[in-house]
Amino acid sequence: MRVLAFSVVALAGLSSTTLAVDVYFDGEVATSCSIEGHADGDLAVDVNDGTVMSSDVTGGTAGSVSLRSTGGYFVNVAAPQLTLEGDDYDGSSDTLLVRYDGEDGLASITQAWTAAGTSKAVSTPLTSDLVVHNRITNPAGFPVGTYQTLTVVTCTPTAAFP
Amino acid sequence: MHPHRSLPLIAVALLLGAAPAEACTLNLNDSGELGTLVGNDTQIGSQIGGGTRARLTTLLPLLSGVTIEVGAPVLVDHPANYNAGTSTVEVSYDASILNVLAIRHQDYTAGATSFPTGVLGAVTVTLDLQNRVTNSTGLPAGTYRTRTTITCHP
Repeated sequence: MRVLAFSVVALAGLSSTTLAVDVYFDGEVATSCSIEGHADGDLAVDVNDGTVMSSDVTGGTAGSVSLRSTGGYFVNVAAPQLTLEGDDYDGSSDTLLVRYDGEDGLASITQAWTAAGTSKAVSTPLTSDLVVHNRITNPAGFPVGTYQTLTVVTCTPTAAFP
Repeated sequence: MHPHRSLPLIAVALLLGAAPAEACTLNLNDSGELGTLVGNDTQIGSQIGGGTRARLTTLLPLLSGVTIEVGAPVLVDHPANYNAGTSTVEVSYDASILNVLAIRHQDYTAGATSFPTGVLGAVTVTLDLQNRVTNSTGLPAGTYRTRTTITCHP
């Protein structure tokens, strides 16, 4: 009879059972931003206004920057620079402008023509494009030659421009 | 002689009678971690980039199998700008006896599943769980947490 009593007590010990358990998985996606690639644009002289050379007139094409960001970053578009010009170019009264628009995950980003650097908060977990245009206006016109502008685009945790 | 022969029979009857009243014990040994992988913008999971599986053990009642149910996983925490409309949460698992003899494998699924352990006697079943979250619109920065409820019953 002692053997029987021991067996019953052992089973009773299992009666304080836990019938359900919640299993949790925790994860963290860190803030990040990366520029995945870019494409250069082309400038063309506006056939209706010889004082304008731009990427958004006939013959011109926009440049683009592909980037992705999980958030917590700014995309900074610096003021454009003139890096190549015709031999007789008079740049004393020219103005360099940039504008841009985001696509897909960057669709909320837009910037009208400006001569200044600008920064925008950016969150696009999937790679999306920023379409960039450049423009040179010069009352003195554009002598024959090659022209090139440069716009530097960066991603930083804090805004580089106001 | 007669009293000595009847004693073992009485003992067996008591053991079998007690077993159905017991279910099983579920002990969580390890919670899981969801990892990320550079270049994979749409998934966070326990089998990628630093993720780890969860493990729980189930002590089955003597001579009585149970059914273990693995509930559909739920995303219980995510960043405010997370697009839940394009999100899928999945679970997969492997069950084994004493972490040696495999008795069940479940590929990733978003639904609830269950399996009977069979009458195994008083043994320990180890359940290794994996979770993953997939979102076609990407995963914004922030904290993510999934929950999978495991239950067992006779």
